[in-house]
Amino acid sequence: MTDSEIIAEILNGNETQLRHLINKYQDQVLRTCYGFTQSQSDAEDVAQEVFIEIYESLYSFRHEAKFSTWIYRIAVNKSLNFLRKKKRSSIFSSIEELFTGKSTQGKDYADNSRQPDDFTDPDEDVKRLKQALKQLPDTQKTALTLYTYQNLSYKQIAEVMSISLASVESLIFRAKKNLRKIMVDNVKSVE
Amino acid sequence: MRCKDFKAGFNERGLEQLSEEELSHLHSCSKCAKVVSLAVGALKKLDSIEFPSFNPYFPEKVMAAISRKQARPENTRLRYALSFTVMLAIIIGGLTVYIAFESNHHQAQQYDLLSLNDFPQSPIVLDKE
Repeated sequence: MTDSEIIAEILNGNETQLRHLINKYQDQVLRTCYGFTQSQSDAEDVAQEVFIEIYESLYSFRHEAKFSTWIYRIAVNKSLNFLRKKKRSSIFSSIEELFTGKSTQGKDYADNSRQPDDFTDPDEDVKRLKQALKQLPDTQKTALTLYTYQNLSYKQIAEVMSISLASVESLIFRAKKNLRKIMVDNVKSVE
Repeated sequence: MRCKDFKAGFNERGLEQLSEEELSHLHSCSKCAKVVSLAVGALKKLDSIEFPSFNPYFPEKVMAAISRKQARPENTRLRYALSFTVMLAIIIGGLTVYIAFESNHHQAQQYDLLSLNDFPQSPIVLDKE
């Protein structure tokens, strides 16, 4: 069954096909979201939002782009929005801490750089890489995540991000360069 | 060569394109060698990213969330209608209080106009018939 047929079935109210669609694309969506959030539970939450969005706006899919490209776009947008919200809430909580003098995130007791479910990588290199990835600008983060976490080609990344091939090459080059710089700076700050 | 210059060169060009001078600094400076080995080690992890094992019941979780969301619109509509009514009541109540206050205020002002200052300074002489 092609994607177009699955979409038509879902729009006709076929729930089995909706489940089939989720099964088909769950790895793609979960891995993309994980590339941005660097946390298993956050990735699952964002991926759930992505599938809800897909379901709700399925009628507006025009078949101009490939269905998988459209899904990548939604996953990238949702993940970036999630990161922005998280950043905003952490700013608010630090302001709250400033006024109340209480730690809202248990900062005093726990390693703040690690997520609660981040037990899969005790490897320091991975931890350092995750920290550096978080500090990249959105466009560079998106290009690098799709390239490394999804193994997409430059052409596919260009389609997802609606930019030229040359821009993708430049974004990935700059992302790697920035990662190197961030990591060198982070090592310096640890010393 | 200073460590600062070496790091700038490394940031700009990476390990593969270091100059002779930068390479000799790297071999002689333990601090820079440590920074480079940590950065290169972490960057290498980009090529071998491992994913955690995600919830095997993820599709069921999503299906349940979609069903919940589908069931919600009626509640949401009711909530919107209720909040609209409350807002309207507050606005009408507010306007009523404002109008009532304004009309009282005008009467009070008119009464205030009859203060002693407004009477003529010269004594009032009553005409004798």
